[in-house]
Amino acid sequence: MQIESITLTNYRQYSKAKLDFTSPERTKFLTVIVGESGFGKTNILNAISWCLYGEELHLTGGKNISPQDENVLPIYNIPAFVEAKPMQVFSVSVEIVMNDSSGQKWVIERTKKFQKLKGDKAAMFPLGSNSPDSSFVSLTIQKKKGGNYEPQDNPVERIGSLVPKALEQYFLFDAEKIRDYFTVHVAAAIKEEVNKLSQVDTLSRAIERLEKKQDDFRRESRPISVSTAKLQEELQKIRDCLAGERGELRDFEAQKKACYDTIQMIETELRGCTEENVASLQKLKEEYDEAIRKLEDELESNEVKKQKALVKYAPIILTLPAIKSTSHVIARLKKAGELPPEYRRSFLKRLLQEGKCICGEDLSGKAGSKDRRTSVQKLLNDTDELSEASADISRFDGDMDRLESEATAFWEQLDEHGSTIKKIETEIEKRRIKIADIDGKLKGINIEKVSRLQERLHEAEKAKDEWSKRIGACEGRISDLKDDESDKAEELDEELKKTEKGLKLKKKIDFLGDAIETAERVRDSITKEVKGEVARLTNENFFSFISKKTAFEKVEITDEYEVNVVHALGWQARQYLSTGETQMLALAFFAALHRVSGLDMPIFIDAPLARISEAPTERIVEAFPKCFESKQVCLLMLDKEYRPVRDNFSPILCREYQILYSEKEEGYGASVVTDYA
Amino acid sequence: MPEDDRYAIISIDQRHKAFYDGLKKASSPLRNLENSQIWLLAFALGFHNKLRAKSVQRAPGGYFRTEYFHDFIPFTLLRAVCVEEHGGDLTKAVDWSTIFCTGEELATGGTQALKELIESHGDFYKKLEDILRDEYKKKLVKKK
Repeated sequence: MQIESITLTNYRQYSKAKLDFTSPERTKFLTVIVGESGFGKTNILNAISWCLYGEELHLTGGKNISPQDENVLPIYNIPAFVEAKPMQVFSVSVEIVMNDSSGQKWVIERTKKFQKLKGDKAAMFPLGSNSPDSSFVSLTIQKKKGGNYEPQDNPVERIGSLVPKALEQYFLFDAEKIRDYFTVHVAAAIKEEVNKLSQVDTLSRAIERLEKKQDDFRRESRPISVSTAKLQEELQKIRDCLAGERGELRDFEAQKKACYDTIQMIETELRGCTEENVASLQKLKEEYDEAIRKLEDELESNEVKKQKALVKYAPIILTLPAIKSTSHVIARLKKAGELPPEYRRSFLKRLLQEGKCICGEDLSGKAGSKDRRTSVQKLLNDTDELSEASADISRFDGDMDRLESEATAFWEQLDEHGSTIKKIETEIEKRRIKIADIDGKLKGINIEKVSRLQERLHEAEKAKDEWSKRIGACEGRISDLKDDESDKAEELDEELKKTEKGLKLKKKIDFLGDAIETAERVRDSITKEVKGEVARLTNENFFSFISKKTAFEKVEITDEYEVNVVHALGWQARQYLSTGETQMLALAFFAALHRVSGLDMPIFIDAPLARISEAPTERIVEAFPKCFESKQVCLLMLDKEYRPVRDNFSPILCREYQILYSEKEEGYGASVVTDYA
Repeated sequence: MPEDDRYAIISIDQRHKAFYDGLKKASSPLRNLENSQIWLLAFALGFHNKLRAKSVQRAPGGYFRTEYFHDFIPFTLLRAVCVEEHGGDLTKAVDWSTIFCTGEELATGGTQALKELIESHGDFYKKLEDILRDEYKKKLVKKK
């Protein structure tokens, strides 16, 4: 589905505006509409939803504003009303020209007429009989056939099949209401929509029909024999029980949904109190807590280092006097020439044993050598045992020198550890003061209200869990009954084989059974694959967008389609994401849903980069072609958001528009759409 | 002097066995230290406080083997202290049996000081640091 053009006539800010979306190349799929706040960007989304469904679904104040309310700004263009003469009739219309996936062109136009009355008032003017909801609005849909357009019957149904209303929020995405995306838009609804997007619903409906048909065949078996009639009766009883349980399951699910809605409502209210205070303060406090935890780890590691140094050097410092005095002993001996010794005892012993000096003189003690031997003997007696260990003593002396210098270095090391530890302690203290300050501020706000809400939240969560348990039990019973049903059906089928008529019926039943089994298998596998793929792509997109790559471990999508962000340390962190991060998560999820759905719908995203800081913006723009490839995309942006990223978008850019607003002296103005300059 | 003489089994006094076993408990500030490191602290405190005492009975099995000394430092300290304890007799620096025997006597005496340091009020490492700083100050005073 591609939108070729949208033409607005007297709609809101626009007197006349035509936006052309056709693209000459498939790779250039992006249209950007730039406009300042209040110039009418979001009203383009409203114009589309009004034209297709008769509702302006993107009004800032919500969907519940009655257009009939006199105090509410009217849908018509104020200059058109001012310039109209009394009793003059003027029209408001939005026309959308689109091509469906087969290339068929459709023109959809919604028109509302007004008549200017006296006294600066206007009233709706009756239209023809083709108006869908009241005689004041006309809706037409024309199909192009040859060169002509042919009006079609039942425009509402026709539009519903072309662009289902349930999917509106999947192609008209208002990023500014991003918080609501995860709060109001409950997980159950997401699951339902994903099932629709992935055509699982169609399969489920087909399975239901096949089962019904199978039942019809089984019922036909009643008159065949007494035993088939009895079995059929028993089977019916099981089915009645099953229907009862299913009804109960629906009730329980409704109760659970009510709890969920309450939770969302309270969370919104809590966030309401917090926008200014509680949540941001709590978040800040958690950030400080986290910083303290990290600093405490750092402190501990430094303390361990200091302790290790103390254990290593304490023995050196405490025995330093012994080291010094022993060094002095060695120095004294060295000075006296005793170290290293002139002779070693082992050398003198060997000379005496051999009875000969190394110079050849006789030392045997025989005649003529007696005196020489006595001298050597005396020298041996005078030389102590230490002479043998001189080399070792010399090494030992060197070791003591090293220890003395290490002891000096130790003090520097100790001081360094001490100052690092002090610095970390100061940082911790600073953060503690900030936390105390936050606690003081939190006390100042209406904590009573907050705690009351939190209590209610806790109760609602407890109730939700209770309903979940009941649902689980009920599902268990349903599963048992289904087994019974299948056993009984099998028994009945066996019985049918016994007669010829029964055999014919059995063949039909079996055929349908095979078809049901295949359809169920396909459905389960699609459901699993779709959820897995949505989770994978959401993860991929989210992590390609955000700056804090290591703070989060993953994005999880539960079986119930609740989107959770898991912190690196395992905590659930979605509620604690910043507005920008939430917007990136929603954008990531939205892009993933689109990719997975295979839905060929144009996508309009209002304020896609609002509240997102510079660095992630660049990453989002970079990831944009991959996230939305082959879709028709239109972004509605502020000039200051668009200008910095314009060049990055150029490879995929098809058209650029700019909304200009001119204000008149009378206090009203009008917007015009021009090419972007 | 053969290197093998440096390798011996060091024992503690049987009376102190329970204390040393207790140092491995989770509540002990020395829980992460090796036996050789603990013993060396006791030995140094024994020398520092001039507490030398013979073991009444050496605990069987020994406390650790000197192979577990990680580097030259403990050997050098033991040797220097042994020389000092024997009136500057440098021959004791190569007499490993006397070195270890003197070391054990000082560790036995120092165990009491270690025990007090652990059991008295305050952080063990802070108190140890204070002792070292006092020692450092004394050295500075002496220099002046």
